[in-house]
Amino acid sequence: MVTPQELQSFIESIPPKPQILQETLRYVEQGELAKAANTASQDMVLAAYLRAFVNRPQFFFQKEVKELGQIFGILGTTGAKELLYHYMLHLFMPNKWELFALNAQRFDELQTMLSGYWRRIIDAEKITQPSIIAIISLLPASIIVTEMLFASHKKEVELLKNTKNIDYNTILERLIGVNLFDLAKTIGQTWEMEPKSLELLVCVSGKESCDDATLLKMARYMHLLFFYVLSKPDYIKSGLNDFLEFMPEFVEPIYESFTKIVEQK
Amino acid sequence: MKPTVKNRVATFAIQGFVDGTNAPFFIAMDDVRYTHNLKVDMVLISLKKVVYFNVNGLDILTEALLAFRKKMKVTVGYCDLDKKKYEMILRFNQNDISFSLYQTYEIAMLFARTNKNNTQKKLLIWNEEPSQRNAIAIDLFERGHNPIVAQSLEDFATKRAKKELFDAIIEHTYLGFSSNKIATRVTGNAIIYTIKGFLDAEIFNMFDLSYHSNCLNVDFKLFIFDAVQVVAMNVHALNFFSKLTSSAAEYNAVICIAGMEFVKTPVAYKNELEDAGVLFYESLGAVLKNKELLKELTAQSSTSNQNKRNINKVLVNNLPNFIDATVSSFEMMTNAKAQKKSAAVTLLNIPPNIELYASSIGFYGNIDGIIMLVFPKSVALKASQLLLGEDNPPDEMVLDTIAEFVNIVGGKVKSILSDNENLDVDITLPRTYDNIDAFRALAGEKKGVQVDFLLGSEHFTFFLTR
Repeated sequence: MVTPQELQSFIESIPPKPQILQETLRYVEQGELAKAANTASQDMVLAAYLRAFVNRPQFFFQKEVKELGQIFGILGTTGAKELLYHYMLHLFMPNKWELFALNAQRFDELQTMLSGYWRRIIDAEKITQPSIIAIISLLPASIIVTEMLFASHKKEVELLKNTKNIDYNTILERLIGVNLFDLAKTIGQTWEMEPKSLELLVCVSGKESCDDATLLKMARYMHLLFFYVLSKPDYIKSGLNDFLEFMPEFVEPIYESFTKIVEQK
Repeated sequence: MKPTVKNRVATFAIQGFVDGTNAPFFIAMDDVRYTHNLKVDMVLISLKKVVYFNVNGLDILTEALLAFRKKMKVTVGYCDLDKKKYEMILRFNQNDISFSLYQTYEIAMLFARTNKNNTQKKLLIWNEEPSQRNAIAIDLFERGHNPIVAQSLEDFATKRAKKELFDAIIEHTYLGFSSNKIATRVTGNAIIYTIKGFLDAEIFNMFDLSYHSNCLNVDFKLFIFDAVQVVAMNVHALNFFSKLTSSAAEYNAVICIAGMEFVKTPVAYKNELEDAGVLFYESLGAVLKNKELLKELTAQSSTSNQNKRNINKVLVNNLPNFIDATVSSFEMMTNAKAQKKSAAVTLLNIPPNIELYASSIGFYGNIDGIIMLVFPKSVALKASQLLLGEDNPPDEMVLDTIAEFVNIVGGKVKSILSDNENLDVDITLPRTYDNIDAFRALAGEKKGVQVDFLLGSEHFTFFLTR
């Protein structure tokens, strides 16, 4: 099963933020979207990712948007930052998924779906902190971490799960005292994300205490949103419905408002 | 998703939101096929972690449950229901349901056909429908418990106020169709079957012969039929008991019938069965409360053990598979590396004066045998931590977890033999021992392969025999 050595080698495998991405993000944070677009254009893969994302059908553009300056303008500061985080996670994604029946496209769709609903929640709750808005992009990091740590232990986990209803997060915590969200936080720290947003990420498991009322509320929303999306047929088929333990009592205070927000047309 | 299996009960634990669009995917075709191949008596869907479900989603899940019942002849239902979920399911089905509802998983376990728990529980029961509360009480009584039925909501409130008097309080529970298999429970070293009504040829269908054979294989020696509710039996039932007694004799096991009255059954049947070796007792209590008698019966059955089946070449050839399954499971559960210290064909040789736990699991099919594992309490605790998440669990929980652990070993053996050797085997229910002397008695004079391992600084012993 997963050993502390495997965990260490996983942590060491987290790539640093690429130089161009780092600069692009810095310009976005300063509100210099033109400079951000100019910097991003130096990385062909990043530029292609941004173009492909913005030209998805859900953006309803009749003509293809090619200019990066235009793309950053459409996304705005918060949207651009969120998409750059998407891209960072995209870089960290395994080439081949073995534990979960996923691929790059389906993972991107998951990120996009989460972001779309999160935006509605952010608007309804009138949240303005960019750190809280953008952190949704790192939430699926917990899926990547699980895939990377457990793919080579698939059969063992299957045997264990046949005997006991136990999720990956609990297995990891009991084996080496670290949970998936701690590891997602480690990724965020390596990528120099804001501490406040990482604090929110750790609270999402519903098992950690959180003193900040706003963060706690948003962690509840994020927990419920995650399971709302993981209850979609594609993600049940991918094996994601039970990879984490859902905590119904944790989301109870926001359940009613959540359903109103996600069901609004 | 695949179900979790414990004590012959398969449970699907679904999470999040359930509606008509996603419900078909929680239990996919692969999962259905997998479940069909399980040797279980009950299939449940736990709604504990479901935050929302609608009528369409529930209908689809219910169809899946009913299909399991039709194909597998098992009891099916939902468990982990709070008041709201319980009432919603009744309302969606207009109070006419053919499956069961259980307030919690633990309460569902009380109704499992094979009940491993050997302690009589005092249970407070409440259901608005008098027929339901009576059905629940009768079922639990037949399983050896002491049910107390509240006759009104006020009565229930009064009794519930003294909850310390009860082992469990049962509400939000509804019994639909149960499988008509004979209820089974394990008490100490005895297996108790509850039979009732008029016994005829149908008893061959109602009795789980495969389970009974497994129990014989793992050296259960005493089988008691609680026949207090039997009205009469005919020649087919007589034939059934005669056959059962013959197979028990091969294993030196004893068949007892308790509480049977021969008013409407010819006394000649009793004589015939006594001649075949069946022992008759006035009541189940007369057997279970009489410790001397139990000791005598167990001793009687385990002496002159003619069933000495030593290890054979096929088992030795597959030894690496058994070792691999055991070691990898130990390593998985303890997250420590195991080192082989010694291996020998021998009688079971366990060092004295060490606080030890032991467990065994049998397998049968293309090949048969028993895997026995002996380990210090410290290793048992470490192996339990992954499943329990507690540092100092009570002994009962540790033993329960060891049973789960040895089940994992058995499951792995089954999978390795199938994948590597194309051998098809089934595994028995696991047994656990906190008394190493009882375990030594099980191994008896059987020779087997003993492999001793070092796990960190602790030893554990693997013993393979037949």
